[in-house]
Amino acid sequence: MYAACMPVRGFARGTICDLERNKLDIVSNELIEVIEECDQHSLDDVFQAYGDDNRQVLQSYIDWLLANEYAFKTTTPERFPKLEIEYQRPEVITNALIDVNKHSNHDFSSISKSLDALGCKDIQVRLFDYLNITSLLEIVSAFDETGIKSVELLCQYSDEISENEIQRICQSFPRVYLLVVHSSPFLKEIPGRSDSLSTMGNILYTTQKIVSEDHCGLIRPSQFSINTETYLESKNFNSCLNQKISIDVDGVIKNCPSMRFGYGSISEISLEEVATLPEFQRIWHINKDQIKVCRDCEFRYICTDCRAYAEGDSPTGKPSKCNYDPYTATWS
Amino acid sequence: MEKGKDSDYKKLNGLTEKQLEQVSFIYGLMESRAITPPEQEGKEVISRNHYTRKYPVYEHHKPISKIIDFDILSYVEG
Repeated sequence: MYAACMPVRGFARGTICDLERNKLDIVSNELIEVIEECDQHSLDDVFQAYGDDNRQVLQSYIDWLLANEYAFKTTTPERFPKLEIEYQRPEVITNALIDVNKHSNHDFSSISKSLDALGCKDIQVRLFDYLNITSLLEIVSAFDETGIKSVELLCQYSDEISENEIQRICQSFPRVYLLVVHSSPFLKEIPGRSDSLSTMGNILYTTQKIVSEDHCGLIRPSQFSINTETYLESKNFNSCLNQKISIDVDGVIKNCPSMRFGYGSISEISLEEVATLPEFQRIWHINKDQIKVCRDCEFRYICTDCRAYAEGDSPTGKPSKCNYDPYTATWS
Repeated sequence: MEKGKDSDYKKLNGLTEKQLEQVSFIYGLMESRAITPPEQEGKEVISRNHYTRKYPVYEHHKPISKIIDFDILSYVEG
């Protein structure tokens, strides 16, 4: 197998995640077994071990792997080491979530400085109530002149903010990756500007009403991320909360705004102090192989997680908003 | 110094025998992956050759929150 093509065994079936081409194929566990055998032994030995009765099926598996460029033939397998699955990032925090409602009183300038100091790259600000255009611009502009790479903004639809003004936010602030206008009477997508490496300033009007953090935690195939970073992070750490810091609507610093436990108000303790607390980082280490049901799922290393809404109120319970059953391989 | 002589090459680059083996290994790796796959289903497939591959558009490697039931990349990439 190419180093970037990962066979993943599930309970009822398996997947091959092509981390290089960002694609996924659902396969039988039988094929995964063949891949594992071919990893250890020469093709001739594998054919011999499976016997003449299985030769045709085995050949079709091999042909399929070669045709899809998941595998290649070589006489020097020692020259093709496996992908190193260790995951390390130089930043303390890589992503942050800031919730805002009409009662919130966040100092975005100070938050931005702290997040920048922690090395944070991606930020999402979720506005559950209507804020005027001046307030929106103030929030987004706080992240200017920082090392922050992208800002996602969710704001509530209002007749008072025109589509042109929404577009102007994206045009004026190149860090805006996505601007979601929720509670909109219509659904509309306005693709952002693209160059060879990035597509920023995407706008989405959605009829979905997002009025509190309770709406979070959805697990859907549309949120699968088939890439090396997600795969490696999921193998080693929690695929949602690792290196994430959040501020809820009341200014309480948490791992996730939907979680009950907080580490103190941002007016009393800094983001830098909380981010380095061992108890804050403990949840980062709950990976998919430890989570009930998820550990038997073939999508476990490309899927997101949710520890706030988990079955049985357990730290390792299945995300309760996931409606996939890996034992029957069905979405309900 | 005659170009192409192994011993001179090693001296020139200051490479040990082991390092040279590693270099050969890397070239071997690149060579074997230098496959330009055919067009599949009308969509250009990313070559496994690292020199020519096309990188996907920028995206977070994972969603920051799972609050939007929509795949933004479905139209960005499409």
